[in-house]
Amino acid sequence: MNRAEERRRRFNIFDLFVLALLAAVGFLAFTLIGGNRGLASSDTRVLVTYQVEIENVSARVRDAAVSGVSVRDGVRKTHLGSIVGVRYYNFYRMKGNAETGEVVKGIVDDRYNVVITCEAEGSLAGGRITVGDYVLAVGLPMSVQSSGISGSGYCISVETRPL
Amino acid sequence: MSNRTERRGKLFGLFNILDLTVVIFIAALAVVLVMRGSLRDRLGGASPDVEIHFSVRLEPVRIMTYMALEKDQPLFDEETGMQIGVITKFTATPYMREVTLSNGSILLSPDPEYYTVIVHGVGSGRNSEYGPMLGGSRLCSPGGLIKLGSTRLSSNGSFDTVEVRTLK
Repeated sequence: MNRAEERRRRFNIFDLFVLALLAAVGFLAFTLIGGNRGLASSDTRVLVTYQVEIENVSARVRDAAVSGVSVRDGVRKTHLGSIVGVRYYNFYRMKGNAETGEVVKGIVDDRYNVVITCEAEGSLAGGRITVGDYVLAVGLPMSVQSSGISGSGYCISVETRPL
Repeated sequence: MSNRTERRGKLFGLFNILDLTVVIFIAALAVVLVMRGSLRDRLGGASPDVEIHFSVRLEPVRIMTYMALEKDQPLFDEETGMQIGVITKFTATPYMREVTLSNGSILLSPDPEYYTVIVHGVGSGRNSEYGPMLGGSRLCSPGGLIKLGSTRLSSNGSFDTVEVRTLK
């Protein structure tokens, strides 16, 4: 009798109901909070070439950028391939000329925009380009880290070709 | 005797405090999820019944944004990851920047580096009391903000035009 009672106490209907409810709500929360991305029906492996522009840096930071090193996302630490090219140009702001009303490019002395070109293996799935679980797209703010340069900027180009 | 001992300390003789706490927590979580909105929509309460032709204004952006667009590519609401339609066409015109003249007047002048890109798309959705909903849950009315995504694009913009046509 005691053993039967013990067995009943270990797995009673009420506790099972609570567990089932917890699992259902957890699944709902995951679906709603995680978004409706769904599963990609096709997943094409591609070589992704993308560029990140880091604005308004000093000459020292500009010169620290080097090719051939690994790069990762500064927030989630996702590996994002390696740097294959570096270029830079003068940092500028668009300003209006108060006399003529014309919009002109105002160069800021001793400040630079650095553009790093990176390559990584990724995939084209569900209409999005991803490297790991990181979605890449023009206009996306990015924080990059490498042994040369690190900084926050924007993705300014993304191209793919099949692997 | 053992029944009385078991029932002591339980609410109404049935529920113990720990079980009750768990049930209340789950109920509160369920209420929050429902009130967060779109639960009914996400669970497919209503199938799409209208075709929504919309355009989104992205400005000021550089030429790379325009070059990242391609006709027939999917359009996404980046906040939810949901596809809201496909690109039908896109245009770029010079961004008109405000310039304050020395006499205090304000002029709009074309910016040589930045553009206004208008992305036109079409998607299915349904009408609601607040306006047309793309994908059943994304409100789209002129002026509304959206973080728009496409295969190679992710940019903040606002709805420019919205036209609803009934699905045949």
